[in-house]
Amino acid sequence: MVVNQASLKRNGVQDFVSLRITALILTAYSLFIIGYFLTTPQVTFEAWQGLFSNLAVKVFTLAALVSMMIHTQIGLWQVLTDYVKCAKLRAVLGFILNMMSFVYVAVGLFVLWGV
Amino acid sequence: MYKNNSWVLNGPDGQVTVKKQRPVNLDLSTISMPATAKASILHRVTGVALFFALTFVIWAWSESLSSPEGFEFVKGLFSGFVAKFIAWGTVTVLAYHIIGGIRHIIMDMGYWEELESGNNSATISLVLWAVAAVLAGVWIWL
Repeated sequence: MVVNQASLKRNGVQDFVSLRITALILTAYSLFIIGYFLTTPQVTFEAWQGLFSNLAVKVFTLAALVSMMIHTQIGLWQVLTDYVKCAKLRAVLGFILNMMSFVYVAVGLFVLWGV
Repeated sequence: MYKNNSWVLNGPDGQVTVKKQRPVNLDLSTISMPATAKASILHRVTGVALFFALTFVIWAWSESLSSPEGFEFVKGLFSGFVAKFIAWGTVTVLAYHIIGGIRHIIMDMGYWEELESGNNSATISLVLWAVAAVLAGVWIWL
């Protein structure tokens, strides 16, 4: 059996586990944010800024953003490989989508930095 | 070897050509989709939609944390229909992606993999989603 360790491609087991672990983190974060809105009768700027200046919330938010990047990299790759037959177009679209999720993470990082 | 829409096989009496028997119908509008198919494609569609919805979510989040003026600006947007609709759409799409995702993880553990249980869990997921969409609408508009 030849295992190509030099390949940029992840393997299937790694994708399977990463997709599910990040899904659990993203679900927990979604419930946390929805829970915050449901239990806070009047969201003011001070309360909103106070939430994200909390170190634990910053860490949770960054974990969710990084999870989103991993989750969408795998999920959008699955969708692209099924529907886009042309390899060059697929590579270009994959690159653009991966860049978009990187931008989401980068913007998130700097927003958290400034709060 | 597959050639001219048929299989060319090497049988005991030499080469045998087998015509492709199966009819192919890829016209989605004439295919009746069972609940499991709807549950599956919706999980994909909502996943892709969520990815693009994040542009609005992260922008609104960033703007609302930038300054008290930015916060008031984003809050003001939510008095209009467009922002409310985007928020409702995002929450609704997220709700299905989470419901479908939980169903997937339960199936990973070996449950709901039979025809009947699979169909039932798909139908229940879709019903739960409809309830979640209505609740999200009530929450955002009332």
